[in-house]
Amino acid sequence: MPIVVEHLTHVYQSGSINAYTALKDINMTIEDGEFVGLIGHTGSGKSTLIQQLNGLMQPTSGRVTVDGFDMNDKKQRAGGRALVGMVFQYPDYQLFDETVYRDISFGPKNLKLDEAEIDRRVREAMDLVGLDFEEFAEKSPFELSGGEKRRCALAGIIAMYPKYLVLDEPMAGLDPSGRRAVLEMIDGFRKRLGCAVVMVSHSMDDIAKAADKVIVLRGGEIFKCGTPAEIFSLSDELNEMGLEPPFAARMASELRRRGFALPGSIYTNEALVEALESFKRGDKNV
Amino acid sequence: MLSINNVSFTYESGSPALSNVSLRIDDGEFVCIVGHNGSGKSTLAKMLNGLLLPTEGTVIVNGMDTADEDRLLDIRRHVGIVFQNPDNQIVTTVVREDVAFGPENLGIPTEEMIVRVDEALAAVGMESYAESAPHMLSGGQKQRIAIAGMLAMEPNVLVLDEATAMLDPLGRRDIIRIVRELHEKKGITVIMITQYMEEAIGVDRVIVMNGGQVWMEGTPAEIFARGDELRSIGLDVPAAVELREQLKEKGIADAGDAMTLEELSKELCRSLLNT
Amino acid sequence: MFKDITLGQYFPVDSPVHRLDPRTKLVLLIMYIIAVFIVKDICVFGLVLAFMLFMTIMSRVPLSYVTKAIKPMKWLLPIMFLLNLFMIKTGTPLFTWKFISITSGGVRQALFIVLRLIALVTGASLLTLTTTPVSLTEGLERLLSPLKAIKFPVHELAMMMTIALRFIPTLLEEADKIMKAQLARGADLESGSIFRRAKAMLPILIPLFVNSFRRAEELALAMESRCYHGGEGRTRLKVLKFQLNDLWALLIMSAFFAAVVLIQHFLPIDSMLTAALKRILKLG
Repeated sequence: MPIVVEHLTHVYQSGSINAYTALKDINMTIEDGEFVGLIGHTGSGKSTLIQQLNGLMQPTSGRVTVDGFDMNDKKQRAGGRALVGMVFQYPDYQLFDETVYRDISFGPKNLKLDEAEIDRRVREAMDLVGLDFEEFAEKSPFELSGGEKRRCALAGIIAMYPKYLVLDEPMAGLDPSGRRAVLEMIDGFRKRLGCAVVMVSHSMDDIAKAADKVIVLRGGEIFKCGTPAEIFSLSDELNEMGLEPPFAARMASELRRRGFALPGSIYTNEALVEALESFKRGDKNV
Repeated sequence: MLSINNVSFTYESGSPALSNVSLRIDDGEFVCIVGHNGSGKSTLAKMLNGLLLPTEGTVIVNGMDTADEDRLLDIRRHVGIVFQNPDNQIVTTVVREDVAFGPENLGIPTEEMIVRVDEALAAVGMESYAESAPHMLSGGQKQRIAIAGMLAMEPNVLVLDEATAMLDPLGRRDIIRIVRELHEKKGITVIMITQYMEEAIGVDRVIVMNGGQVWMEGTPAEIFARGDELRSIGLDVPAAVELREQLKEKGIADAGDAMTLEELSKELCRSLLNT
Repeated sequence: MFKDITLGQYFPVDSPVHRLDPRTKLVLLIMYIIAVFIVKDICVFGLVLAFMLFMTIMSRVPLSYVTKAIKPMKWLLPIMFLLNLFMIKTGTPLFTWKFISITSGGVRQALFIVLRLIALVTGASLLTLTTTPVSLTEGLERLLSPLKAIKFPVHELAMMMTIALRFIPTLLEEADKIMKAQLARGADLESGSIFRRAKAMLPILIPLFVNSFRRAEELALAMESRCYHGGEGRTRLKVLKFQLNDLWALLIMSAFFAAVVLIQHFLPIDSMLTAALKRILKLG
């Protein structure tokens, strides 16, 4: 069963003079196992929306259901929340315990699992994020490097076996190799847990590499929802919204402008290279 | 002129952060220092205005040794640093007053200070936020205020220590544009420390740090021609360079040393469309 | 979500009171407090309340905002009133029943306590309603600066207040984010005994403290980079200047103050009234 968002509207400080509508009539579905990229300019309502997905915020009107749990209902909320794992942008907001091991086990403990199961999951989560058990289990999370902290924070959520994994800018501030590593890790969780992923990112290139479906938010409304090919063919509109499309998509549209006959659905380097290759072959054949 | 002579630095915890680094940065240069997290690039930044002192070697700013405590204020006035976290650099509750914080510390007379603050805010395009509360601004706007705070001290050198790392793409673009303008119009020496390779395009010189040492040094074209070496130390090349490499490898086109979308598309037109 | 909170309770309108130099306002408040304590006669107190009302009208802050300050004392005031009413045994007894007796002195004292508290709280409240925390800090720093001569760390205190004001919104926002991150990990903050709940706060408090220390370190570096070296030799962007307005305010205040002192010492209105009251009671 999916996460279903129906007619969701969120107004901050509703009723006061400072009332501010962050989300307006949002309708969307996150299917099982899907990888959804959520993009939008700062202030487009992304972070408000993802906090609704596990009931950290309740809508002013409309409703979110997670596998049938109505997140507006206080009694059902905990059930839904247990299915949705949420990783915030900065690991520093999450890490608190004496050791990495204990910190990762915080979530599973709250799920009231038994010791043996918790131990198994912590080891597995550490393995999935690439933190060596012997080396890191007894370290303080505050002694870790930036990249390691992020891995530890991810492991803390993975160990809860979420059915839906929501990631808020998981690569922000990481160097290129760190970014690649996080993307690979997310791929690893999906293979192991079969979870759906909702990833918020400013980097269209990262979204282009991973997502099945892309949702673009603008001014609190869904501007467009579709496959990466559909979304990234709207290069000009995205640019106007302050969102930089993936490099390959921008390059393709520039080349088309200069007279190359290229298909409209290109948004990865691989596809662009292939298209240019066949363009060259075709050219020579003529 | 800034010169770093055989500098080594070891943190109290015992881990060496810099070993035997020597660099010279001339007045009016625009230098980019790149390296992965933990390569020593931020330690190097803190050496430039005496926030950290070398364990061995010397750092000389305009003829002043950063180890000379009497010259420290003078050195810091010359070398302004903007740090990574926009939230942790703004001291006061009103934008204007924050920009004035440096000049206030230097004891600049009030009349002159007002002129400097207004000019600094104008240089970063934040005049209309002069009376705002900093916590209401976006990350990019806060970094602009941090830059203005440095400009108000009238430095010769501006160091950006991963100042764009926590910003969204628009904020990042703004900061880069402003810094380039300052370099061109006011001739300020810029030392930009970053892990975004795109930001190194168009600078005078790129310095690649790895393991606390200068690993590579050269023009952007020279550095980005060595993509595989960069990747081997956890870095990458700008997107256009990556595509250029792939096209060359497959024998589709040789785009020379194109580094931007613009350059690459021109090169491709030349070699594939014969225009 | 916390971005919109306003610090303190500043009421943003433009008025002659808002425009006063913060130092003037602090001096006015001090004189006003002294006046409130000098007054011994209930009728002279009318003058104090009238002055308070006058300042409120001048400030263009709705009276209801000023009187809001009394709300937190809604239990304290009646208790103070009743305690004084029954415990004070001076003056003439007005009412006696078994061991309970109410005296004229008790009534006076009880009324006085309540009125004084109200006068003090509304006065202080009017100051914070018309002055931003920033300019209040500035006012305090300048006003206390003579104390530097006796090595009192005036500048350091003001700097600390400024930094606190700057970072409170940031910290509130951060606390909110941390709380959400832990809630998302299934933290239960709402059920169980007080001890259990206090323990459940640790996952929120620890990151908050750790982050604050890091913030403090980074801020110290940033301040050093901007040549901060204490208060010595500092100049200021904003120079506080006394205006004509301030002169007027101080004149009005002095007139009020003089009136209070004069009436209190030379016109025994209160004893005249009690005498009159006694006569009426006797006639009755």
